[in-house]
Amino acid sequence: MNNRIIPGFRLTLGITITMLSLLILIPLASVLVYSLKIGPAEFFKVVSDKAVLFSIATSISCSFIAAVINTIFGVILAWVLVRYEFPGKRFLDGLIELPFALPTAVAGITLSKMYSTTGELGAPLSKLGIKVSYTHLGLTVALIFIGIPFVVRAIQPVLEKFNPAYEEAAYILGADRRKTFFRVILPELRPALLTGFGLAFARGIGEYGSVIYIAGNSAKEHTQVVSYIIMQKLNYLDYSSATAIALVMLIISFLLLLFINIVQVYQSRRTSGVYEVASATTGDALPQPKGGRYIMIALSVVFVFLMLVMPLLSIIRNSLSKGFGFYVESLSTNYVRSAFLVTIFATVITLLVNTFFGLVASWVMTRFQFKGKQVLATLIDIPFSISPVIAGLSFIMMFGRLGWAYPIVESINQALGTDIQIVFALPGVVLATIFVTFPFVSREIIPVLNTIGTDEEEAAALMGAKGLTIFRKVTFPHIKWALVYGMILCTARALGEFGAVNALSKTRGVTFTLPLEIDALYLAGDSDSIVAAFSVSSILVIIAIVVLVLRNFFEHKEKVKRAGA
Amino acid sequence: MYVELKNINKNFGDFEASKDISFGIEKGRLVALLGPSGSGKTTILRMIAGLENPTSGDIIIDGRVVNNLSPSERGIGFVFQSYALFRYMTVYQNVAFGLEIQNVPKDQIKSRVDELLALTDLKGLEDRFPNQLSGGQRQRVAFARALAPNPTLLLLDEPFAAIDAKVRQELRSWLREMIYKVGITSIFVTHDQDEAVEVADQIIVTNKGKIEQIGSPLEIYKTPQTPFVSQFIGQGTVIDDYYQLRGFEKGDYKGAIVRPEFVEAFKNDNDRFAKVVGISQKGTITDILFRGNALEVRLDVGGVQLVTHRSLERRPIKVGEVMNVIIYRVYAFDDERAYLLENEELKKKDVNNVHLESYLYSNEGYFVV
Repeated sequence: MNNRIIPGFRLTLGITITMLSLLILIPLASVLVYSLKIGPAEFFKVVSDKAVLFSIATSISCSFIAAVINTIFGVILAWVLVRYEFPGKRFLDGLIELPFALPTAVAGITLSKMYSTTGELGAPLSKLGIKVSYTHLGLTVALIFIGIPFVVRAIQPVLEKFNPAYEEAAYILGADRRKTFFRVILPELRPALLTGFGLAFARGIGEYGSVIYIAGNSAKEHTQVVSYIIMQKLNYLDYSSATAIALVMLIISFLLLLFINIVQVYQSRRTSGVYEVASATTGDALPQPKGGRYIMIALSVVFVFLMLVMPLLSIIRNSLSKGFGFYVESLSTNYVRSAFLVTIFATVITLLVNTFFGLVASWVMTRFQFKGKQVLATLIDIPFSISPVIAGLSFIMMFGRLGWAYPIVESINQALGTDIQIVFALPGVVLATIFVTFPFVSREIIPVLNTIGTDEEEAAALMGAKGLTIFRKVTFPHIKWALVYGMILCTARALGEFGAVNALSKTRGVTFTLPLEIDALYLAGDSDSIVAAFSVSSILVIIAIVVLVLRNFFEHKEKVKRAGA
Repeated sequence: MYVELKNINKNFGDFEASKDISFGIEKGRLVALLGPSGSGKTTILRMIAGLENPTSGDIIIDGRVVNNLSPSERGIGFVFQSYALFRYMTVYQNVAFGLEIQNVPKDQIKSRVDELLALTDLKGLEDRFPNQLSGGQRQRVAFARALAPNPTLLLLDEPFAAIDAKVRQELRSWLREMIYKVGITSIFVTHDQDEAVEVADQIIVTNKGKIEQIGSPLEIYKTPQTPFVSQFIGQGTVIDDYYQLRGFEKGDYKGAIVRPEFVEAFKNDNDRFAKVVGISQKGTITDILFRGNALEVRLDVGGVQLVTHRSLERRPIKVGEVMNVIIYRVYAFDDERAYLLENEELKKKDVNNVHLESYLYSNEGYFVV
């Protein structure tokens, strides 16, 4: 079924593929090309190095455990948020997205400090003989932190739309609540669960910023993660090793993405075409065990408090631990001012590029059917499941001295008499930020466009409206809030991007962004600079909280609008 | 009475979904709960099933008050509006679910499921998933699943809502036959009067949370007792000045309902109506609509707008043509009740010397062809 009444297919498809290729695929291919040049013997020597193998094992095992824990708590949290009413529910719901909004480096230093033997949680735990920071346990805790939203947000919409008649049917046939959950509800949740699990797992394997501080990065203790090893090789200018390891990571990410996509295809195969009239709510005669409900709510609250609220409080406490005067002072250094400007510069450009891409890509992905659409969708989502360090590496392998595009840039510079530098300069920082947040806007708009369908646009097109008019008058009002939310999320991630930028930016006070400045301050190690690191972090925390509040606000607006329609 | 509801009330917050509902259903009956959407019919069904708790009143099944019993203890089977077939289970697993829950031995489950699949003509589809079935097949799986644990009362919520108009017709008679074959007392909810009349042997008409009338399809059609039923059943036109029609006198009524089958319109030279042409009145055709199996003819009779049906076998008519019109009867109504009014002049004339009453909805009409 080709829908070509709606205009703009060629144009939007062209723009989508061009931008995707230039900003994501060609840089990634550069890694691939370079790693293929190494030759199999050296490749295997690099990859079979003990430290590398251990780091891969560490990344995979810790991410796996974290993803499993997140899956269990994700189901509980989603269940509590959808099924139960209790005071503070919206607050709890809003907090879930904190790990998306909080810069990974900030999360990293906070968790590391919190769980160190002198930290808020680390101190009591160490008295019990449990060491968290600088162990696999700490690494896993950090990965749980960043993975929470993936599972919860995958399951929540499925539970919200869950047809109460399924539960009623099971109840009428004699099933108790336990059997109903495991035999009827869980199978319906399974595809969303696997998707959420896969995303959290993939994100965990590539995670950099939030784990490097708490992991300890000891080769002896096997607490090095793969992203750390790649970054280390980059710092030693050992590009062949870095690309070889990156290739292995890319393959793992790709397999995970493929797995997620297959799950989604399988899901639609089971559920498509089944006529559904969802009744409003389940009958009031169905059993509602009070005890279980309170245990679930309590579990959720404790989990969210320990994993999300405590770190927030810890940042504020740490940043003010040397008084307000010191706080202001540490925010007014030249380094911070420069980092602030660089961050804003990179964020604004990223936002413009990714918003444009998001609008164009979601149009082509939802308004037309074409061959290879599924592949394109997978490719657009690549930045989600790739280590940000690899994103940074990609641009080095493209524009760096060894990159294939280096001579091109050089000859342009010679011809025009300019001195454009990409890598280790502002353009590199901007490119890396764009790469990492590439799918953020489109990902928010696509589901909305899919839900509203194409009827209104077709009607407008049949009445003779042109593409831009249709978009402005018919489509835009529907996606307004989703667009704003996507832009906010994109902004938050761009402000906080660390791993990719870290690989591409080496000059403090010139190309450092705020997260890099935080990193530099924290790693300086003396107590003053650590407090300063938290002070700078607090700016990003405030932005993250604003993002969460806005998200809640926009989501609420959207709900009100839908209820009215 | 096999199923009995006594003074049932049901509130959802401020909304009264059921107001003092009482009725009884005999064993073996096939009963329709008929009413417009929001009339409370589904709520009644869900309370009988044990999905909703009545706010007050008793539900009695087979002599036991079942208010505090779960659906499986009540011995009911339920077919959901959209069937709610478990999408991740095969046809076999869906039908076997209720038996597995009761820990019935595997071989017994197998023979019971096989028996039901044979009964519902689903043999060979055991391993299909619900979305690989047609709408009619899904309904049959839902039916088999509900019957598997051997319920004594079958409840069906809008069983034909999810099916195409064409297949719906077949399934109505299929379901009716199947229920009689199994011999199970059944209650189904519908908003479609044709469906209720065709399938049920007893109809309970609901409106605004109350029961309007209970009776056989013929009774509901022939003697509507309330203004609501007289308007809801059939395709009646509501008129205020019914006393403008010849043969009807003004009474203490608010208005009247005239169904198309109550209106006879014939040409001047029609021999068949020669005896009664004297008591007819003139009506002008204002519109003619082709309805497939008949013509729908709209008439202006002394300022009153009426509708009648005309067989396609009769002589052609055209808009503007003046016809002779006789109205056999109307349902007059006040605020509380509906009353059957016969055409007084026609009654006096009594062309065939038989009391008029017996003709209404019987096999013979007034005029033998």
